[in-house]
Amino acid sequence: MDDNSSNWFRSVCCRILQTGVVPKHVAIIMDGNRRFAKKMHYGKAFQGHVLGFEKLKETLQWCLDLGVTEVTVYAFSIENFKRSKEEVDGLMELTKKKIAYLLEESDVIAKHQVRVRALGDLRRLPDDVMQFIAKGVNYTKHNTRAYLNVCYAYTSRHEMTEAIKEMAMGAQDGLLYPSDISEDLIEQCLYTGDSPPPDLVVRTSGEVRLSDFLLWQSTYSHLCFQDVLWPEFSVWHFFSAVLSYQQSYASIQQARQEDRERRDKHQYESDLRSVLEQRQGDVPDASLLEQMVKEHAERRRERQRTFVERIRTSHAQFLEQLCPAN
Amino acid sequence: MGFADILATLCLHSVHGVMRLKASTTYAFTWLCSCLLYVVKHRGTKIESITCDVKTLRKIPLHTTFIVEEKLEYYEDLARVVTWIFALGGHVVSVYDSKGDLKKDLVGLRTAIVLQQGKLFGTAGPAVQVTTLQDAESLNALDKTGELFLVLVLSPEDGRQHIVETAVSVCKAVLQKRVKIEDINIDFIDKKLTATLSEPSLAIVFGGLHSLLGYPPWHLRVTEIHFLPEIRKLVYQDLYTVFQKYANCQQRLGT
Repeated sequence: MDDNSSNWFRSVCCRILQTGVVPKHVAIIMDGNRRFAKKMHYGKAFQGHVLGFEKLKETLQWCLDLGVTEVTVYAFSIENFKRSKEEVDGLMELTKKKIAYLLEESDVIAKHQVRVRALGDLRRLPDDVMQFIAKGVNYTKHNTRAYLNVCYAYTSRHEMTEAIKEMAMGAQDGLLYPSDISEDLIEQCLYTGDSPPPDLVVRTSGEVRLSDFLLWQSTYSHLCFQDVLWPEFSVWHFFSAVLSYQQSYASIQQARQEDRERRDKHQYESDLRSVLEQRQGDVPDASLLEQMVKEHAERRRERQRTFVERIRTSHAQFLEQLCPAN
Repeated sequence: MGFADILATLCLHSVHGVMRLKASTTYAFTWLCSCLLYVVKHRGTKIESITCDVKTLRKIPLHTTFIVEEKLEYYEDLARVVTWIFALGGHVVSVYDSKGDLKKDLVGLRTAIVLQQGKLFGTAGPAVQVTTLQDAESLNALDKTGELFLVLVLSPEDGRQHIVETAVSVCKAVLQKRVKIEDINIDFIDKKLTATLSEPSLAIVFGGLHSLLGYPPWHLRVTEIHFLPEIRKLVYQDLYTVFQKYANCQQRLGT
């Protein structure tokens, strides 16, 4: 099948898939670059990472063509710092090159107005890499049609721990009460606070674990482990993952709905407990109690909003001050 | 809806139909093979043949977790799978029931497990404790001697809500100056969250739905995750195949 027929057939398949449910947020663990380089007998395993980046560009295009509006990828784990200095330095150089490409040449980013976000403990990175990342993020910050979240110097446990630390600092500074802490608040404090949870999580290379990636966020996602090395990931593997997502969509939505009801129930009980503690055993009549719980909930939400705003402003300012004046 | 849309919808439904048919056919074929193996080797009902299987496994998960979506009316099937895990060398089985019903009848579950153990081990089956996270702390000492096999029953309350409760207690400790902000790191949080539930090495999601359904997220960092049909349809060969895959997996842990 030549290129034109292949593109036409792909478009037709894409159109067919779009008659079903399309995942809005897809997360990808791009695993298998080094094994691919070994399989192809490249001199250096690093060549696998270069091809892996090319595959990311392709996959981003497929996602956007299908109607996926948010893509999160696991580019570099905190654990990856344990690799050889040569490989880590090489990956840092590749990151800088690719961000430079993003700023100057990427038609995918411009055409689809993709906002690029970097999620992770960026302070662990060398200063020059941090600056490049900050430039890339700031360059696209006004785009709003689609999002590419790149997890860099990231692990999920670190992310959750930082969220807890932020809340402890918030409590210490008087912005939060401990009783304000909830699943919803923790979610907003994670690096992915602005994003909905991923609908579909794909991992390539045949490994069947999450490896500290979006552990909190993916707890109700459809998981798809595929036995293909990342540089060999094709649009048909992608379509197959979307098909399997569509098959389980109804059941997972029901599970999410039950989870939402459980969380709302917990939140209501927490607000009620707080009001009763403040009343010190003096229980008013039902309608007055209801009114008091509503007002307490409103004040709680206001505290949470202010607190979350502080975290996001601090993060944005950190990235802005990293960008050189020109 | 135009003609092209109708045709596309029909195509998609056909593809989904074919995928479901393929899954059913694969399951039927696997079930048939397992029945044949059962006839040849009595797998799953004889402790001697399971003990031989253990020798073929390079490594065995100490803690296996089940994620169960189906409503369990009878515990016999679940008890049988738990007993196989213990026979294969596992020591702890946690059962995450996404509906939260299993916690209401721990006695019933324990009775079913003891019955299955009696069938497989005879009278010399290991002592088993069936409990919840809330009551597990008192059992930790016993667990360390290696004499007790533990079945922990979990529900969505033990998932992200447990992390919320930990965050609340950490914040209170900071306000009361028992803990400093700089003390809060991954190891600190990990000690609190894994005090009663250790990280499982292997997770088996039953029922065909490829989702973790609210399972405690902190604990699945490097857990191998496999998917199997509903527990009531499970045969021993399915479980042994998962254990073989686990035994052959390599964890690079980022390196």
